[in-house]
Amino acid sequence: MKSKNSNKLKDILLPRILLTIGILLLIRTGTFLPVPGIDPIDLDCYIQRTPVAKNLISTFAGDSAFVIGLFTLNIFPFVNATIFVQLLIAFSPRLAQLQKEGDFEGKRTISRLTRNITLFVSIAQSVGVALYLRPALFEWNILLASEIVLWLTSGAMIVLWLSEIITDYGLGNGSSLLIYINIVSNLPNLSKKLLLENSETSVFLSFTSIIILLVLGLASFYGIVFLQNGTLRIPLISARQLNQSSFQDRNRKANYLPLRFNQAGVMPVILTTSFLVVPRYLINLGIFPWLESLASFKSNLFVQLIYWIGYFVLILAFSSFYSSIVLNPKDLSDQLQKQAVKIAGVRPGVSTVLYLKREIQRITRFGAILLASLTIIPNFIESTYHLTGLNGLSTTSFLILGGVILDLKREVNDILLSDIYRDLYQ
Amino acid sequence: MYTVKFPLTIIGAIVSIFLISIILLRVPKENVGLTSFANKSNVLGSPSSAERVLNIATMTGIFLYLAIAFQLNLLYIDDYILFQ
Repeated sequence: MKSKNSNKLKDILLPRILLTIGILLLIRTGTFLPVPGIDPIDLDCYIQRTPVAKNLISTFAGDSAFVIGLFTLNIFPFVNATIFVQLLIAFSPRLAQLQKEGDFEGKRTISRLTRNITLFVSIAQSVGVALYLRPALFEWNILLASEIVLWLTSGAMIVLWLSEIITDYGLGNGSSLLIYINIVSNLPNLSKKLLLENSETSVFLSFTSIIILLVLGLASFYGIVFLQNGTLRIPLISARQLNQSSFQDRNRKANYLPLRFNQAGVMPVILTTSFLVVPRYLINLGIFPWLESLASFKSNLFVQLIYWIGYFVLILAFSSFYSSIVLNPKDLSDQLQKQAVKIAGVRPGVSTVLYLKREIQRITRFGAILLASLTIIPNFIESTYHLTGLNGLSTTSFLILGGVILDLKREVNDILLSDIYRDLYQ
Repeated sequence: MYTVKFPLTIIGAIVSIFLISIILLRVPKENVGLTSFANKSNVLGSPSSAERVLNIATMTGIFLYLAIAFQLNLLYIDDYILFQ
């Protein structure tokens, strides 16, 4: 068995691991290879002169030199396009029908639509970067701007292609892995910021702060693994089981329908954050002056409480909304009926639909409360224990980190198991 | 240096447009979800020859793209040092 496993490692897993690591290294190299034509000295002077840009850059790139690389846009145009298409599917009956049918042509259309929108988003973001660089670069002109747009757009499309190659020929899902790498590569800067902002007299954090951070980290990871892997098992009985003669045969294989606590993934958190950014955006535009006076009470505990309650309620609302898109009780019931399978103790048809609806609402509510609680923990710790710099260690980041690691583990197990079954039949 | 920079920039632009078109042409495999490995290549079947050719062409384009960007950066460094 040990030699079989080592063969599997050598023949199947090792090439995939090497390919995935190679592509990730290529993408990281491209991220730091500068776009030709952008004078780094001019850019550095501009960043030093502009406090807003300096703070923004130091959040993402630390205090080291900032480079606008070829792959700066990374996988984010594709992520934005996917979110946009998911929202389109929710509101467009035609696209929803295409996705529901599940045939090759429908999926191909949606995939093509996503790629085209990715291209448009890449162009839009590249144009934004090129225009932002106008005050920074001495030799800025339309030709240079067009070059920047072309380099950045093709860079984003290359990253999309490379992520698909990881998904098809490598290990794990390419786009999730890239987001994971972005978060992990930011951790040293965040840790440094956390240490510098919270240490009083020396470089080390106080003992209390360390304990709080450890407890926060462990509680968050435990909660996230529970949320990602936790399922409600609904027992099923198939027609074949009912035809078994003995009671033991009938109950030997317990089939079940797994309903996950977190159907929506990170989407509720992303949508809530996008929604709550709107007031700040309006304040910056200066359209509603009264909002600015309210924002000045940021340190007021009452306003913060309102913010947290709003955050909590929005996550609950978006979780329910997204779960209803992902899991439709009527479709589930129809599929069970087609496969001659029923839920133990529930009549097929309308009763099954109502039962599934009730159970889905129950677990969605539980999952949403857990997700909202996990999201609010860093903010609560920051204001109660006066620790700053925890915004980078958000629940979204932990959800993505935990989700990617769990999926990788599952995939390696699946590959090893598939080989075991192949060996059994040979 | 100027005589090398301009044609290299044009070649870079052509390679970029070629890469964008060829990547848009590719239709990714059906994505059944994060946990499914059944649609991965070389586990249940090898890629078709057309797909292989497309992948090789794209990879060649990417290396050309990176090489041109690297070379242009080296040429621009002289300008940055000259104008400081």
